[in-house]
Amino acid sequence: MPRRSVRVQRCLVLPSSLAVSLLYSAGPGPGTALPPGGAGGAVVRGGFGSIADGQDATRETNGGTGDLGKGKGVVT
Amino acid sequence: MLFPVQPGWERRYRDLGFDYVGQDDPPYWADSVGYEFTRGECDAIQAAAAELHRMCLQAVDRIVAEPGLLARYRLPPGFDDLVRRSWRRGDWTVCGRFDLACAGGAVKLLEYNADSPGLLLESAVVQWSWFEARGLGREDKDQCNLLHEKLVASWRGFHRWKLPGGERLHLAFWDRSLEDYRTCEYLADTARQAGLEATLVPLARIGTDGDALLDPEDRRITHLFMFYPLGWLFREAFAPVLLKDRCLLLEPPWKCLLSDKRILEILWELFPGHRLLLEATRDRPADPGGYMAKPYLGHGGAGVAVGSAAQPLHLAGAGADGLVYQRRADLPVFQALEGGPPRYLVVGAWVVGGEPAGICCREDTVPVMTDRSPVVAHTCADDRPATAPWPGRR
Repeated sequence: MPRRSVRVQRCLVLPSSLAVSLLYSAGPGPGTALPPGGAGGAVVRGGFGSIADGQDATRETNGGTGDLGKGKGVVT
Repeated sequence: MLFPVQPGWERRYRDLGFDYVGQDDPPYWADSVGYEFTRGECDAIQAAAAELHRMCLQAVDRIVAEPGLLARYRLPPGFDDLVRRSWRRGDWTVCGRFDLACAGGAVKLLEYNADSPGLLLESAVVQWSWFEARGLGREDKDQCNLLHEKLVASWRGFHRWKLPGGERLHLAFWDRSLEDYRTCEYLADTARQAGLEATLVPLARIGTDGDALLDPEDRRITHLFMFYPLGWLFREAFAPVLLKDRCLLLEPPWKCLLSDKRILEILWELFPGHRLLLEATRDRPADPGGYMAKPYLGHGGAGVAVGSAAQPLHLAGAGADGLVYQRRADLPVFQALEGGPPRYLVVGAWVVGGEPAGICCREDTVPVMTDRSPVVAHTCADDRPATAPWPGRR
């Protein structure tokens, strides 16, 4: 195996990018999403993430219980 | 052998974005220990990852060509065609992680985290920081880790292929997970180093006007990396918008065939008895003690049942549709030199841009890893006494 080279230092700037995410609030949830294609141009949000949130979980999606990553912090 | 804990290590890792360690016992990051591989072992793991990747691509080619195989995935209406189109036009893939059992000189596939693989920041950045902080390179040790470099190179290729005009790449993460957010933040960083304009967006803030996906500022999303399982995405409220195929997804739709654990049984059917595979079947085995049951679309070890005389699989999988039964692997067990019960080891082998890109280690006191199982760094060296286990926990 070849020796690895010295890597370029990553240049992440945490405070500013985190601040951007904090501006966002949770969406209305999948139950309120308009049926795609029938929205008449109105923008709706919150139609993704329901399985991870623990909604719509089935035996097949048994990882989607809302517990993933629990204990390792949340984006507030 | 234990590695001395470095003063201020928590602060150093926090500065790298690794601030989701939590207060678990044992801790999520085990800073005082490391696994030691020989270069030959690293080569064997890398070669296994390359071969498994080739086998997976062959499997996808068969699945999209045979309606009977594709039908087994029971994708929502319209998604069979989206997956086929995505495969036939060669949609770009960024990365994935094979979870492997490495024991007794053999390597066996446990599962393939083909779309939204965790441990990315830990593997690419944190364990390398661990290695550098100890000056292990000066001891003629190495780390099998080119993940960062290959990620930047992969994004550079994607830039040339799909975003020559400077369009924006969005990266979406599940809002409730700091770990997912940090992972996407790191991926965005690697994309920017490749010259892409990258913007993070919480999953719940993605919108639609019924025609396209929109970011929180109502800009049309044309190229979207979703750090979220495709198998879940396709079953959620906005999924029909994806069928319009106006947004290039990363990972691509065809990868849903690989992140779904049905691929384990299909690989076994296509390559029966292959040395890198464990027997896997959708039929409940007669001797459950030798098998594990895994939900097709499960993640993070959730819902996985280990068969034994005391806990038969049929109890975990009553009415067991939606499970794959995989023969149990021989996971190596190591004494915990820092104290506590012995640890099982699972080796993660990364593939980026279709090439092996490095390895990572995860351990636990039980043979099923979860998203809270401790992560441990590794080194590799020229050799190790022949009597030592494979690999060695130090």
